[in-house]
Amino acid sequence: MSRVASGQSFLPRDPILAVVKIIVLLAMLMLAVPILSLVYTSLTGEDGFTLSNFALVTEHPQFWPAMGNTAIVGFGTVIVMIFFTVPLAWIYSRTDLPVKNLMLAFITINVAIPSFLVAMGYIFIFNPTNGVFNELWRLVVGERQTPFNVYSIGWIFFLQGVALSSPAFFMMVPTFQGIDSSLEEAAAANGVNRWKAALYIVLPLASPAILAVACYYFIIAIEIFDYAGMLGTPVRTYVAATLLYAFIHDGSGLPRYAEGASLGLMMAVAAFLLALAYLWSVRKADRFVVLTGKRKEQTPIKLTRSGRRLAWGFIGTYFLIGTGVPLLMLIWASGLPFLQVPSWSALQNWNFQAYINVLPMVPELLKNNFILMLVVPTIGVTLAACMAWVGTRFKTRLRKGIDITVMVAVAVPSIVGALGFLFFGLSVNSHVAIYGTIWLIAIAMAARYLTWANRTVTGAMMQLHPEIEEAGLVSGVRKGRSFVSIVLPNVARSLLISWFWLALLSLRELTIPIMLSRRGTDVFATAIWGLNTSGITDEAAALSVILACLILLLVVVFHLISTKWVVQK
Amino acid sequence: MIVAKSLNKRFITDKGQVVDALRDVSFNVDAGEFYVLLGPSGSGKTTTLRAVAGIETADTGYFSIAGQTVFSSDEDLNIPPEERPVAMVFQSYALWPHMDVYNNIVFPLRKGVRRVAPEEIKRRVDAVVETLELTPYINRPISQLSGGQQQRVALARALALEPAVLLMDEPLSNLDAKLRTQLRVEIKNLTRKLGITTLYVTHDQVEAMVMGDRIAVMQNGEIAEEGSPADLYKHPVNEFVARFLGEMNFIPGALSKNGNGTHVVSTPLGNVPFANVPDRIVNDRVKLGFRPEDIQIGEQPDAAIFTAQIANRYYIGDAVLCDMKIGEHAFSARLPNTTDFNPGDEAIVSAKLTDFSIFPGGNAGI
Ligand SMILES: Nc1ncnc2c1ncn2[C@@H]1O[C@H](COP(=O)(O)OP(=O)(O)OP(=O)(O)O)[C@@H](O)[C@H]1O
Ligand SMILES: [Mg+2]
Repeated sequence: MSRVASGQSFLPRDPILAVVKIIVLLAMLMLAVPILSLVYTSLTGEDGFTLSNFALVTEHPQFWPAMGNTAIVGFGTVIVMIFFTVPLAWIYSRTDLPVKNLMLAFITINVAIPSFLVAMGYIFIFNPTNGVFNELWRLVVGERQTPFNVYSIGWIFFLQGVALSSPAFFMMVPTFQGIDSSLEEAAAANGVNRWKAALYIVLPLASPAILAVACYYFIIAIEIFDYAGMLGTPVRTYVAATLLYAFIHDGSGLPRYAEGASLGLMMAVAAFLLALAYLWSVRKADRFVVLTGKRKEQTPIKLTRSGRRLAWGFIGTYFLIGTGVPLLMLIWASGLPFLQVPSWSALQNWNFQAYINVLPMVPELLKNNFILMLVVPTIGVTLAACMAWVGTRFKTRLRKGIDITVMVAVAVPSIVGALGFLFFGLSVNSHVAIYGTIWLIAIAMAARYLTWANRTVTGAMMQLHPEIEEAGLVSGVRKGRSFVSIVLPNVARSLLISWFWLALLSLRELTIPIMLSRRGTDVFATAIWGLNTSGITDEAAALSVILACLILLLVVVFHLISTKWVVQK
Repeated sequence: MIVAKSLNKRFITDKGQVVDALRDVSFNVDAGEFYVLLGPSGSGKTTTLRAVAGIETADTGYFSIAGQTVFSSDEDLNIPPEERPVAMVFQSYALWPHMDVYNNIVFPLRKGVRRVAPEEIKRRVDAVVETLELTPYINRPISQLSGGQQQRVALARALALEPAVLLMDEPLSNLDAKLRTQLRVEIKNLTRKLGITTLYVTHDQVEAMVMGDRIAVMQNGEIAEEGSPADLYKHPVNEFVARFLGEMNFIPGALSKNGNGTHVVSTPLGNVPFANVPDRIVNDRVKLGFRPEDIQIGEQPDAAIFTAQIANRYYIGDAVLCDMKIGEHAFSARLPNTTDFNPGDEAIVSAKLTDFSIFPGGNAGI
């Protein structure tokens, strides 16, 4: 239906709305670009359209082993993850464990510390040649052969499972909080003790949600690059993501772009189908769950003394495995020219030489990382805010477009998206020299995190009563103006949180920069990767320690700001 | 002031169900009139109001406000809400939580399409703040106001726009009973004093009758009947309306024509004459309706007089409610609180002939 303006002019009647719509179109373009470039690159050969690239990929000797490995890593990760995350979420949400804030801090740190740092920490401990633990084993047991080799599939999925337990924890806690504690109390009143009630009532009630979380993280587990890249590639054990990397960055030959694109497209399609299956099963599960949905005042289970010790023992062990031990190992390794078993004499040799060595690199890395830390969240949050608004408040085709684009884009694995932007950069490079610059990395990252920020901001906007915008409209305030002056101030908190989260993600990201960095656009992550691959362990460790400190600093600032904000509100 | 013609609106829910929220809704609101849309939940009141405001777009139909066509499906015309000369008070108040009282009132005047000069803003804000007694709260954040105060702010924000038409969607439904009774009189007096045309939505029939100059009763997306409160209450044409406005007793009857062209309905209560009968009455089986308070003890002139059995008696303070029977027909009566009937008694009671309303009869009599 057309709208008749009171006074026609060249300016749009609602200039802000026009700008928002342009931004949304830009955002959709950003999400679509990598997919389109992949499709194009994979389907074109020397003489036009071809499917031969797909054939080349599937005939590659590493293809089927990589697929098998990917599946093993996926399932293994999820099993390990459930082993840790279910007890953690249960302890947090349904017991009276003291100092739960400390627990929260541990888990937040676990989320924040980059995966490749953890992987590197474990390389220092369990690598077969000079891993600290293996050296100890040889000293004590006296055998050459040691039982632990970090370069194996088992370690990949074990460490991934440990790492993913932390974000999964945040997804799982609301489920446990939503289950009415009177169900357990009713059981207790009927003579069933509370531990049994937890096992036979709470767990089955939560199981659809646990299954949903497991499916969700399966999709994530099969696309993570860090662990397989650090622990699989050196021994030529590939998963899909690392095989893709090998196609592009094969040390020996030329990059095999078309094959990379085909593999990437296959991964994206597989992830998309899995995501659809996930959504379908979540919708199904919803009907069975007897959750109140609301967070109720719960009467927590009183832990006995030994119960508390057990709980804290579990949490502590988890933290040590996930962050504590590998970080300590990085610190240890950063001060020694070659890896040594901890001992008094080794400690006396501990020095800052590696830090001094890497110091000349730091300014450039800092510069690049800071650019990303400012640009990525700013673009990401701006686009996400506009997209979330149009997505929640409009009934137009634009909204349908957003829904579909986001759904497809969410499923595109990081490394595949990065590859898409690599192609995009290469193809436009003759017009806009963006290939190999920090800006291409920034755009690729922003596009990747955009869907995440979009979800967070959409959640906040859904909480806003639509009537507060309609009240603006009927009192003469244009849509665009009410977006800026009414909607945005009311979701400011979620915008701020998203901004910081994106800043943090950009600092810990390895996958995207490793695909797109060139000389001069190195960031901490790629520099550490490079040093480690070249076997310069002490400098790799020193840089890692610096990066970990930066990240922890950011987490603390984030925490201070967000709690201060809460107090003010 | 508002002309609405043949509005239709169909919603398709997420599950694919079709809801006809408005079916051929037409009404006129005169300048300065207080017009109430009354109806049960889901009858389409809010949808009508939102369509007037322009927040919802009707599928077909025509609207004009203050002589200006704001919507016409034939002409493919739809003026957006911000350009319509209306203001609206929402059920949720829809105050802007991040602004204080003052800014809630001033924001549309400063940043809206209908913005005015600073001196004019000041004049209007001073006026509404004084009228609605908001001076003590003017710089308070919205979250620190009580429900009634928020209500006033929402009203102030709307009035400050000096709209041609004020739209209100159940503005009192979130308040406690006492405040509600007090505010409905205040709002009515205020709109009368300002002479502002008001379209008011409620599902509370007392509120509708206290406030409305005219009431339209909605049912399933249609206007079932329209009229002044007294007409609608006393002589409803539509049985649903009759029941919705208050309790009504129904007695079956047989309609016959007199020689002189008038009609008479013979009922268990006696014969009730009707000078003329609406066209809707197509056969001789009819129902007569009367309200519990129409029953009086004893005889009176020009009335149906009959003997009823007392089945139950309830003392409710300001009155006595009696369940009565005549033959197998039950009805209830609202009598003075001095009435001392006992169950089992027989009593002679009467109801004025003019108090009866006539409705088409059902198959089973009632
Ligand atoms: N956006 C929508 N999508 C689908 N159906 C809707 C929508 N809005 C209203 N309806 C339906 O239209 C019908 C009329 O709704 P409306 O809100 O106008 O009723 P109402 O008379 O205001 O009721 P209440 O007294 O509960 O506020 C209802 O059946 C409602 O479910
Ligand atoms: Mg309503």
